Amino acid sequence: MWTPPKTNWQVNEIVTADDMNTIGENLATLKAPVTAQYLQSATDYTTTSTSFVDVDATNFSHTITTTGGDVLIIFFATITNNLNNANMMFDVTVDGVRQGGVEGLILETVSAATHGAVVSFALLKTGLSAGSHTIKLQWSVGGGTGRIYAGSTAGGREVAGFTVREVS
Amino acid sequence: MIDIRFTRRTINIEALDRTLRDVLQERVIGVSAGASGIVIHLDDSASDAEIDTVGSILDAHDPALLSERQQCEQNRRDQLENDRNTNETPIDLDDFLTQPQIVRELARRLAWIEREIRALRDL
Repeated sequence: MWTPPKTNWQVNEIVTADDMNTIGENLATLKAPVTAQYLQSATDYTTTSTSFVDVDATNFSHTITTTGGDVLIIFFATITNNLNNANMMFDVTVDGVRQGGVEGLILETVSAATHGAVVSFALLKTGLSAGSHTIKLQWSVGGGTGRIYAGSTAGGREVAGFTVREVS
Repeated sequence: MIDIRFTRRTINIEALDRTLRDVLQERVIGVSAGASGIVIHLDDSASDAEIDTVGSILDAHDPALLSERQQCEQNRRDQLENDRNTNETPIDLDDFLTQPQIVRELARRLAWIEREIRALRDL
């Protein structure tokens, strides 16, 4: 647990055990920042939703307790759609609020003739208060059936990943 | 948005989506499937009766039945495969030796295009 460090030391002030423990705990927190990661490699995901919906409300969803720092959000996957020139849009919600625009954080136009397009984004979410925050991956399609390859398609070894980490 | 969740099972997501839209029309936002199961996304205006209908449609869903678009795609592939089998033998330019020059030239160009396509298909 991070504790704001004492910065008003006075000349000849005695360092206490609590002071040293706080420094030690802060170092330990910096060594192992609050992190949540999910990697899927056994089940593809599909959607026909033309509005943003959770990719997986259980797994591609992380709840972390932060100390008020910025949170880095990372997503990567290989995707496709069964229609040619179909839009695939990805976004995240932080505490229920979608972070991107009308078409999300990223949009990729894919083709059924293409095996798969690689998509990813890294978003630094600033301005979060200390406490519990829930971050979910969302997606939508412009048409057709969108697919995140995550290992179950014949011959596929793809992994889809979603990570959040407090970084400051 | 109303999310109706079901346990994971095999579905034909495109066909299920089509059936849902045929019955519930603009109430349907889409269908999602993945490791945590199946989610039917409905508009907030969906009534209780319409929500119940979703369960009935899913129970009656046969993943082996293709949607209209999937059936057209399947027919197109079958036709293409049939045409490939029927036209497996390359054009023999000797068959055109007695034809007018313009026909022989067209046959030569067609044979060339045929070779290019075979190369693209790694045949």
